[in-house]
Amino acid sequence: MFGKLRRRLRALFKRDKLEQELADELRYHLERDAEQNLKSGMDADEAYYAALKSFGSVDLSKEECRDARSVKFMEDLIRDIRYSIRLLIKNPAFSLVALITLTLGIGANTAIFSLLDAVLLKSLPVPEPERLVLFGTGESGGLTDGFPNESTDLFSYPFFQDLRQHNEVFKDLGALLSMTWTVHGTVGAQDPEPKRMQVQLVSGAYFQTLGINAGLGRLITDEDDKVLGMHPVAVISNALWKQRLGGETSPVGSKIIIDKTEYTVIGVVPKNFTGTTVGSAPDVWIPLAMEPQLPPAHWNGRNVKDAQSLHLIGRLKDGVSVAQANAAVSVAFNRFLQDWAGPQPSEENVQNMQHAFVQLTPAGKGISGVRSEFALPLKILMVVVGVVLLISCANIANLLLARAAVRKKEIALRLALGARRWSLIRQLLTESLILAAVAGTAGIALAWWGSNVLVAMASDGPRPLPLDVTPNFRILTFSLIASVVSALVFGATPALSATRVDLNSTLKDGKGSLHGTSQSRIGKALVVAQVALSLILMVGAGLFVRTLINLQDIPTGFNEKNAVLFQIDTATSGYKESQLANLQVEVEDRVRRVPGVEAAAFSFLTFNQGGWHSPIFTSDQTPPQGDATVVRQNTVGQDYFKAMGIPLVAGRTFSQLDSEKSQKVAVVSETMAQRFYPNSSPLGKHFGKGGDKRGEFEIIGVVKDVKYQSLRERPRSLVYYSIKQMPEPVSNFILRISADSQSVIPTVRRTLREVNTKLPVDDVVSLEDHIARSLVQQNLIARLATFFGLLALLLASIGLYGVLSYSVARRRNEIGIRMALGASTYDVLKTVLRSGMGLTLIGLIIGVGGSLALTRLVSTLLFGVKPTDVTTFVIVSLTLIVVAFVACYIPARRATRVDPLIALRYD
Amino acid sequence: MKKPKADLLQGTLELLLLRILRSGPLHGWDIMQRLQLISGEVLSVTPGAIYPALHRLEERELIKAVWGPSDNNRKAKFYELTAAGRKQLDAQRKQWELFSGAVATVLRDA
Repeated sequence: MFGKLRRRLRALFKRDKLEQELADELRYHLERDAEQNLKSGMDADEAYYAALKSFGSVDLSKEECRDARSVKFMEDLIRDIRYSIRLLIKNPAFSLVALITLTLGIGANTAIFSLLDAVLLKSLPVPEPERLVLFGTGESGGLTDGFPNESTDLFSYPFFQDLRQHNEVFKDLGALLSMTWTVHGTVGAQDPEPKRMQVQLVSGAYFQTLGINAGLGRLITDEDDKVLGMHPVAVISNALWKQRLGGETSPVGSKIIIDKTEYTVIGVVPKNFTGTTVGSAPDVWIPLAMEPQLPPAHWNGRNVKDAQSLHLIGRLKDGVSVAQANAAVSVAFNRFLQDWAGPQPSEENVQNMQHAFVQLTPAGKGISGVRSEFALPLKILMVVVGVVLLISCANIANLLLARAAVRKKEIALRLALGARRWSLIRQLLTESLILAAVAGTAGIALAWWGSNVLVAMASDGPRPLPLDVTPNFRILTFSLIASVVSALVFGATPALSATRVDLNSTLKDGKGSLHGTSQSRIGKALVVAQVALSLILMVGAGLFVRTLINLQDIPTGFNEKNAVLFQIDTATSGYKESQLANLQVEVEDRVRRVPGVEAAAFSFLTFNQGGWHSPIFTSDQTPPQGDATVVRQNTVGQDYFKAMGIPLVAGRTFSQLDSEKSQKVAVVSETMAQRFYPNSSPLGKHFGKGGDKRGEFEIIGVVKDVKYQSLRERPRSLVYYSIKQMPEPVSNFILRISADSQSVIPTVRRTLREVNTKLPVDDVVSLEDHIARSLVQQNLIARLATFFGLLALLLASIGLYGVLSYSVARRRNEIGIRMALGASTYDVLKTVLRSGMGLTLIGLIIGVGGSLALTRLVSTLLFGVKPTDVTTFVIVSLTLIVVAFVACYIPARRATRVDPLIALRYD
Repeated sequence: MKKPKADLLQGTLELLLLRILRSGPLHGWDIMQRLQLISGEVLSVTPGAIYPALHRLEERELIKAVWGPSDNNRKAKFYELTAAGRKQLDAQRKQWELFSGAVATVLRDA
């Protein structure tokens, strides 16, 4: 065995020595033969000649001996690689252009694929992830109290318990709160400053269901989730352990204080585990039993059937299919709903029950809202970068074709001398593969950097989405395949066509014929394809850009200029609800007096932060039926409308006189006023949040409509409550500042610290940026599509330029003769331009046709622009024509400078 | 004045080489001499074909090669059977006998 290995290594690395031995061995034979012949009476020359003759072909024999070596293939490969590298170094311009285009192509593909992998493909780092199922699709998060009446994503704790007790299809069943809470807490003893952290509440069996073990210490078990409020324990992430507890000594036993509760760290999750929700990375996991202690909401859904806020994850028992499990879950869900609706269910609930269902979906790749938002854009971008790679391949193929034409004579000579065609093809392909290998490696590096930029672009906050895009096995495999396939795509055609040579004519003539050879025909076809593909990409980019502009042009209803949004965590600092209102009023008052601040107000929600929907009940008007009584709501500080710049239409906004003791008041949006009070003024009218409290709130004012959850929404019925009358631990704090007072922000921070040193302030962002973040998906796709569209255009024009330059160089002769015969500079210019622009126009027509067929596929991502938008098509076509004209003009200009005398003599 | 010559079946040459090497290590030229001696002029093999066959056998580890002094005191490459080669020779010889016996029977009786 070792003998074989040693011989192979020798064969590879001591080739010269082996060759020497082979020569010695055969020479020894010949000499012995010759000696014998001498003895039989021949003279020396004769003896040697006879020996040679009887031996047969020495070279052939040597070649066959070499073939016997098992590393022959490797030897050939090494020889080919050496030769190819020499050639590539000899043509630095070609190699550089090819490498740059290919690196960009492979890099872009790998970067987009990394993101696609993180969002769509990556499995959770748990055993048998394919046996995990999620109840529902996981697209909703938060808390709902409505009776289920459709596909259900959120579940209550009582249902979860009910299911666990009667479970026959799941090995284990775990629950987690459908969202994480952002809180501020102190970690360990050293650092008294509260720091921001994401908390994930989980049921006792959550980790057991996933089937993972602690990286250190232990994880939460059923024992930690038994008695409400009695299990202050926490499991922490690796990141938290490293960043805040040093990551050296075991953190087990350390304390984390959140609000007034001290949690004991019992363990650390495994290193590669970052939770089960894609695009979210909790720092701390706490048992659901601690939910009432956890700010800001202090929810308590332990025994409340309609508090539906959990995601449920189950691990299927062996042998149980998803369909079987789903059937069992449906039965349980139905039983639960019947129990909830009571013995005499209302007609509405009977209806609801008929439409409510649970659909089990695979959970092995994690729960993801990010997935539904980015799946289509990422797939589109994947196609886009795939096309860019194709275009770069076409470019390199064209360059190779041109070079193959130059090398035609050499290749013909080698074929004539007996080289096998296959070995020539192999050598040419090796060259392509080397290019691809180098570009692939550089591309992976580029992608590593690029995918992090992409993640930052895809994030709607100052912190990048926690998506892991470091190259993994799948990503590297992808790049490898992309590189090899590219090499074959751009290398195969030139290699095949270069070695298909008519020996006679090529060797005799020395130059390619003047007529269109098959090579230049392929080259032209490639350019047409490039133009067509780049046009399609640019049309797509144009549509996305117009969508973005249209969305940005939508009026929000408030004045986004000169306003700043702070995030202040008023919940974690240990205030009781009764003190909360005072704190908020004090903060508003103090900050309002800072010079440069025109208005300051807290609010529960500030555009694009989710919604708070619930029905209202009016006292003196027949309310609109059914769904229409559900209105959007917000709780805001006194100066909110001034701070946001929302104009008042009628009545008044909140004042100092509206206190917790006075009549509860509300401000409504114009749409709400029209919908509920079409024929009268809403001022002075009353409504309540329950059927039995219809007089609870008095409407005191009407304000202009504003956008609430997204820019694309219709005007909504919206009610504003006063935060003084409905105290809540809110965190949005909006400031209106005078135009030239950017410097007030540090002063405001100082003022906040004066009010309370423990008041954590995180993000400070202009209202404009806050609104722009709601367009992160459209922004991402518009920017990337434009970038890649322009890149495609650039590559296509390089292709066009290359083909024309090559054809001008080849036709120097012909051009020279024409000029000698009296053709003007203009004639020559026209001929070359016509052939270039002809190709462009063919590509353009194909591209327009292709775009018309393809843009329909992205129509769901467009806004305010049709997939066949004429303006976009015209602008893109004109851009392409102009760029193509420049690309054609340069070689055409060069053609006119051909000196007939030199051109004719040159041949 | 052509003599009738038998074509060497694929693999037969290798069988013969193994057989010749059974008596002990030999270098290429000696092997050639023995082959001609044993088979007379019936089997026509050129040295050009012997060497590749030897290299193939070496690659398959049926024989191994050592450089050593030849009878006229020059360096030559000697080949000898390995254990695997010995086994291979026995197996192939049995197979050959079986095969040639069967063919002979058929030719005689038919």
